[in-house]
This record gives sequence, structure tokens and C-alpha cells, in this order.
Amino acid sequence: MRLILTSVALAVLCLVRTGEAQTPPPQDQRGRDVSVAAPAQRVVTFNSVLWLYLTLERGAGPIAGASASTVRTVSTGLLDRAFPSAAAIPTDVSVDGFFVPNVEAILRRAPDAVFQWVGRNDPAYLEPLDRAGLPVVALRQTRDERDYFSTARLIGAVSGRSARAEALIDDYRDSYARLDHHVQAGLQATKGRRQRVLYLWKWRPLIPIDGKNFFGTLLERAGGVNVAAQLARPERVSMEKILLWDPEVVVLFCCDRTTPSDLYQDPMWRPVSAVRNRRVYKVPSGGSRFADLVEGPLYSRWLTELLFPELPSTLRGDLRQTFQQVYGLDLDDDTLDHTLHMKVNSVSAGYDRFSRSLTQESLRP
Amino acid sequence: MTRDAIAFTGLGHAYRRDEWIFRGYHGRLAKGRIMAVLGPNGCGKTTLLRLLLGIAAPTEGQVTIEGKAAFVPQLFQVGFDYSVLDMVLMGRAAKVALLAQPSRRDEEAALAALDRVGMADFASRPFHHLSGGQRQMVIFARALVSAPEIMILDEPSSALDLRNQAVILERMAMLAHHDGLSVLFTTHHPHHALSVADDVLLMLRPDHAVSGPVADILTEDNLRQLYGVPLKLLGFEHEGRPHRTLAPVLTPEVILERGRS
Amino acid sequence: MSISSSSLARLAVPLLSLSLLLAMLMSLRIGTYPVPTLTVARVVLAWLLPAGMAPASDWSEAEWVAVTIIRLPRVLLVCLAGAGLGLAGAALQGMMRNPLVGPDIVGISAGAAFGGILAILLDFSGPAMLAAAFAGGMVALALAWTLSRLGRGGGVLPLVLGGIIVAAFFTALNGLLQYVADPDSKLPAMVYWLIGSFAAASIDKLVLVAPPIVLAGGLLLALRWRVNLLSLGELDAASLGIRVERLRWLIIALVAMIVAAQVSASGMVGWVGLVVPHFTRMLVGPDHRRLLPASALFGALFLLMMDDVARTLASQELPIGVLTAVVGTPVFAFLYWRLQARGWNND
Repeated sequence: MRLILTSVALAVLCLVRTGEAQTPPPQDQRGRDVSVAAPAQRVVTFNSVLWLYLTLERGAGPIAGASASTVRTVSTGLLDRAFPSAAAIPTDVSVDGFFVPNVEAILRRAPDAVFQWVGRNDPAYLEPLDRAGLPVVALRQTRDERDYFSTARLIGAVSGRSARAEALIDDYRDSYARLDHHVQAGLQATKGRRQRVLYLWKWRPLIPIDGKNFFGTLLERAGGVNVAAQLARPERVSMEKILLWDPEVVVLFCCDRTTPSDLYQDPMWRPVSAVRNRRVYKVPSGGSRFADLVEGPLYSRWLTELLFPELPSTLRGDLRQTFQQVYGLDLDDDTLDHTLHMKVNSVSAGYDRFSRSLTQESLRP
Repeated sequence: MTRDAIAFTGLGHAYRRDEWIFRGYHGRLAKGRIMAVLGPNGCGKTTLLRLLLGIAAPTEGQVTIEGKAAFVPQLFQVGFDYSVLDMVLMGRAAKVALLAQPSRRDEEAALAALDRVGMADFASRPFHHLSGGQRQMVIFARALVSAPEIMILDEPSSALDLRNQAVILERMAMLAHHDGLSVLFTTHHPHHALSVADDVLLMLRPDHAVSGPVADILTEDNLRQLYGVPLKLLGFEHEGRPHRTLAPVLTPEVILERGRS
Repeated sequence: MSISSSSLARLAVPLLSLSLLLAMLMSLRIGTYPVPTLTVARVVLAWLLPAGMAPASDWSEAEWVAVTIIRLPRVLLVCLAGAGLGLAGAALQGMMRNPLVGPDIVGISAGAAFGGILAILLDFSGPAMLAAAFAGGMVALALAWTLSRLGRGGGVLPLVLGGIIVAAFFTALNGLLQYVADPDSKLPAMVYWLIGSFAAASIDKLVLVAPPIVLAGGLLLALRWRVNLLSLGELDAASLGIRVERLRWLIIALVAMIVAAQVSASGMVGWVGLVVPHFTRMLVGPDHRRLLPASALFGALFLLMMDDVARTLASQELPIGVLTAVVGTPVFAFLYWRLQARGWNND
């Protein structure tokens, strides 16, 4: 009896939601048709689609399992406030905490969709899932913003939240339209000269964001030039290479222990312009590592404002607005300070423009 | 007044509990005399030497040793191809401080010791390139270089030909009777004991050894008991001096008879 | 056949010293950041000469940092590690009367890496990590030694087998620790310990590992003649008045200290401690009084060359542990063949 009721309810739900979905069957990012009956009831995720899924779904309900590293990012960051139940998502679906699947644990959950990263053509990621006949949605490494959009649309299609996905995509485009305008203004002031920026993914060993990485593209879009653009993959570089590049600004990955002070105190970094002028900054953490559809524009905004100090600062306001709009969260000043790494970045030049008092002043005129 | 260079009483050694190599051995080596230790293979001769040298502690009993002892091990090979001089120099180990290197004086002492055994010309030759007898002489020199009062030798003659056996026996006799050292050696050749030793220790059984002057101990009875072979002690004169030696009484008939029984 | 008094043997130490000095200067010249040879020379002179005689500092700060902060600590660290491994290997081979052993073969390196990895897991750093690596190396060596003594026969094979067992065991433990480690913060540091590279050389590391290597290396050098005595075997050495067991453990502790410091500076670097003493023995003969200093010099020279190759062969640096293994194994195979052909006298 209960079973019949549930299936009836499901059928009704499906009817309601399929109206939102696009008519041609969507394809995943390795070009295979996605044959998932939307809306999916049970989903397993491996890569960073977890937060976008939560965002579109506005809850952790259908997430039947996710890799431990992504659950940790959610439950230790800002998104924990929006999705407190995400901390309880089972993580036994991956063997290593990242991308190697535990097929039996996944089968036990009988998911409607499994979002998996194709990796660097690593057979250990996808093959076991395909062999087990699981409904795989394969996602590749983000190369440009079209991948952002297609990922959002795929999740939208699977979850039956396509309208929300489109709304997020529109917001993203609007944000960058505004940003491009500001960057143009900033570049005019520098007579078109772009500053050399190094995005350091890891400090020890030194691994920069390479030319193929989307973070590098976003960096250029923020008005800088990626000194490591010639690298085609994430690889270790020597300190002498960095001396040769002599970046004017260094940004550090949001979510490890490295801080600007580490670089300021390291004698090897002394001749580097960014260190001499104290322009090393740690990327804010946000809810999802300051990346992806929601926070990507915030990352670019942050960097643009650091590269062009004469531009008015809207970052604090933008952060507040985005989190209010997307997650319904009201961020207080302490939370914003924490997210912006105000403390560790306070030793760097010009970071006080993001402080709570100065921001209000700059908004005044 | 003669005192003992080495004396041991109630000496026993077991590697494992109640597995005695030997037990209850007594013996004494007076200063300036030569003692031969005889026993069948595997009876613990080398173990006895270790106890006398103080390298291993006896399981029971006591060893007293008066004076500095040096050891000449069985003819052996070294893992590394040291020169003869390097080998002899090692005899100075006890005289060189832990963190120090041997000095020129040590080297001179080593050369002098080589000279004493007639091997001075071989100083820079690789030890491995020498014949067995020459190597034994080098090890002999190595023992001498520490200026010992007691020499303990482990089967110094067993791997050598007749000529070199004679050289070794002669050296031991010189050491004792000319230089006044006390000498103790193990051997498989009873006639070596007869020719140079003053005293002898016969390791007859694990729990029974007899020791004393050669004339008292090296009897046909004792030797027969030790080796399990019929033998005869022979006395003769050569160039006006009395000699003793022994021979196994083995004819083809005796051998066949023994084989049958 | 070389014996200790040949002229080559006598000249080996000064010649090796000179080559090492030249190699060090050359290595200071190698790097991505372009520094003219003359500037390198001037910077070095500024270091060596008293303030009054030093050349005027007309170099850029980046040039100065490249030569003295990036390259010099690395060159010194590589030399120290190489010298330490050469010494440790020569002392071990002598003490164990065994030409087939080396710090990696008898399990010390794996044990030291285990200690270090455990230290990373427990958030130790600096001297505490060094101490953990030392303890790990000691335990591994003691285990290998004990295992080899279980076999009644003695000789070469039991020790090598014991070392293989112990190394395999610690390698397994290392894998286990990596598995439970936090993949974001701790795993990369652990992997670094296992691969072997000097890329992370710094003044801090030099300051941390130089004292144990210099101290233990100096003591080993002082004990070099005692290694001759130990190489005679237990009974013989004891009869010469050596306290064999005490001396053995002293040398084991010194070797473990050197290897632990080397591993914590650069991760596991195999084969150096095995091949270098062999090669040096062909040069200067078996007397450890000459072999130990020569092995130290040759070890430093060998590892410095390997590190230079690691830095320059590809755009991305190669792990030096891989290089030493690639070069070390064939050389070792050749030496083994030669020794077999000649008939190695052992036990």
C-alpha cells in the first residue's frame, strides 16, 4: 500500500519536474547520453559537483553518498550553515576519499546517477562504475566557463532543477559583464599594462596554476597575466623559475595552511617583486573554495580589486548579496572577515580595503 | 718461585641450558712453559681458548690469567684484501685509543715483529697472496706486536705442510725457552705435543680431562682412549739425543678387523 | 689489483677533494635563473674572503639569492648527504665483512623513512622528526641484524635476506601510514620522504641535518681503523682486545644517525651507500683508514653529479632516488660480476 502511494507520488513529481527539463536527452562531458530519470532520488557524487548539486537542490536530500574530501569542504566551510545535513552524507562510496569508487557501497545505495570526474583518463575512476552498469554522469576538468555551464545544466537536468541552473548561469554572466567593465577601467589607468600574477596552488613543493587551468583563465579575466601560462599541466617548478618570472602579485590557494607570512619570511622569496611590495594574498575560502559558478565571479572580483586599488571595493557587499540570494544566508562581519582571511592577509599591502570599516567609507561617496 | 700464567678450575661451558660442551676441567700452565691441548674434533677446544682469553665468560668455574695474552687464531681468510703490514698493525689494537689511528711507532713495532718472524720483505704484499705458512707467520707476528707474556695458539700447525709445521714448532719453542713466554696451543698432532710441549691437557670426555707433564699424561692408554685407535709410543735416539714419537698401529689386517666390528 | 701503498691510492684523497671542490663550484653555476659565471665566482669570493678583500657587490639581489640561498644550501646538503652515505656504506660493509650491504639493503633507509612518516602523522617537526627517523633506522638495522643471526650459517646471504625482509616490512608500514594520512595536508610530505629529492633543500634543512651528519661522520672517521679490526670477525677482533659488541653498536648508531639525517633531508636515496664504497675500494684499496675518507669524498662527488643531472635533464626536476637507482644498479651488477670473477673471500 505504502509502496503504491510512493510510486504515485513519484510519478506526479516526475510529471511536474519533467516540464522544466530540456527536450533532447542531455549528454555528459565525455559525449554519452545521460539516461537518468529526472528528478533523481538518490545521487552519488565524487568531485566538486557536490556543492553545486546542494545549491540547485537547496538541500542534501537526494545525495546518497559523496567522496570524503568534498563532504569535508562543505561541512567545514560556509556552506555548512546553508546545508547542515550535508555533514551526514555517507562517504564510504569512495575508497581513497577522492575519486576511486567503492562499487559495492555505491550499488547498495542503488543511485539514479553517479557524478564522476573523468580524471586524467584514469581508468580506475570510471571503468568500475561502467562495468557495474551504474548510471554514470562523467564530468571533465573545467577548461572554460562553458564547462561550468554544461555542468550546471547536467545537474539541473538530473535533479530536475534546470530553471535554477539557468538562473545561476545568468547571474554568472551578469557578474562578469560588470567585472569586465571595471577591469577595462582599471587597465586604462595602467595604460593597458597587466600585472604579472602567480597563483600558487602549493607552496611546498612549488606548484603553480598552469596555463590550461580555469583558475588561470579567471586570473587573466580579473586583469592580470598568469606568469605560469606556459605550463600545460600542474607541475612542480623550481624557485629559480619563480625568480625568473618575478611575479608582482602572488595569490595562494584558499584552503591549505600556507599564508603570506610564510613567503615573506622565506629568504628565497626576498627578491620577488610581490614579496618586496608585500603583495601576497591568500584567496578567500567562501563556501566552495571560491570557485565554480557561484563563487568564481567573487574570486575574480577579489583579485581585480587587489590589482587595481583605485577601483571602488564592492567585494564585501557582493559576498553578502550572493550568499543571501543563493543560500538565504545573512553573513555578519566576523564571518566575512573569516572568509576573506582578513587576519593572515592583514600583513599584505592594500588588503585593508576589504576591512569592514574601510569598505563602508569607500561606499560613502 | 714459579707462578702460574694460566690456571683454571671447575671450568664448564654450556651454550644452552644443560647442554654442556665440557664441564669440570682443571689445568694450569706454569710461566715459561708450553702446554698442548689435545682433543677430538668438536670437543670444544676453541671454546676453551675463548674462555682462557676472556672473550667469553664461563658458565661455571674460574680462570685466572697472569700477564698479557695474545692469540693466534686458526688459519683464516679475511674479507678484505689488507696488506701484510696492515694485518700485523692490528695487533696493536689494545695500545691505540678508541678514536685514534695507529702512530708511526705502532708501524715500526709492526715492522719489527715482521722482521722477527723473517717476513719483513712481505710488508706491503697483500695478505691473500701469501702461502698458508707465510700467513701463519704474519698472524704470529701480529700476536708478537702486542708484546705479550702469554701466547695462545689455535691449531697453529694443522693446515700446514711438514716444513711449515716444523717452523711453527720451532717458533713456539723459541718463544718459551728463549724469550720466556708462556705458550698454550691446541693441536691434532700428538707428536707435536711430544716434541715441544712441557705439559698437556687431554680433553678425553666432556666431563673428564686430564692434565700434567707430558711424560705422565701422554701415555698409550690415554691416547688410545682419546683417539680410539691402537697406537704405540716409540723412543729412539738421534744424534745422541732421546726422542719420543707415536704411531698408530694400523696394518691392513687391523683396519679390516676394525671395519668388521 | 690496487693495494694501499700504490701511488693511485695515495693520490686518491687529494684528487677527490679537488674534483669535489670543482664540482661544487660548477654546481653553483647550474640553475634556471641566469647568473653569469663571473658573478657566481664573485659571490663565492665574497663569502670566502674577509670583508675588506671581498669584491664589490655589483650583483642583483635575485642573483645573490639564486647562488647563496637557493643553490649553495642545496649543494652543501647534497655533499653532506653523499659523504654521509659513502661513509655509512663503507663502515657497514667493513663491520659486517660483507660487500653486499648498504644502508638501504639492510633496511635502515626504509626504517628511517617510516620513523619520519610517523612523525609527519603525529605532527612532529624539526629535531623531533629527525629523532623519529633515527629511531626507525636503528630499529630496522637491529631487526635485520638479529634476523641474520637466527640463521646459523652466518655469512653474506642471511644479512641481505634479513635486510630485504625488514625493508619490505617497513615499506608495507609506510604504505599503511600513507593510507591513513590526511591526503590534503600530510600525504604530499610523506610521498616526498619516499621518493628522494633535494628540491626542497633550504638553509633550515642544512642547519637541521648538518650537525648529526658532521658529528656521526666525524666519529666514524675517527673509528676508521677500528673498522679494519671489526672486519676480521668477532673472535679475532675480540682476541686483539676489542670490545666487539660495544663497538659494533656504536657504529650501527652512527650509521643510523647519518642515514636518518640524510633521509629527513632528501627522502630515500638508494644505492649510494652500496656502490660508492665498492668503487672507492677499487681506487684506494681495502684499508679502511683510507677507504672511509675517500668514500666520503667520492660519495659527495657522486651524489652532487647525480643531483646536477636531476636538476638539468628535464624541465621538471627528476627525483634523485630514481637516478641513483638507475645508475647504481648496473654499476653494482658490474662490480658484482667482477668480484665473482675474481673470487671474493668472505667468511
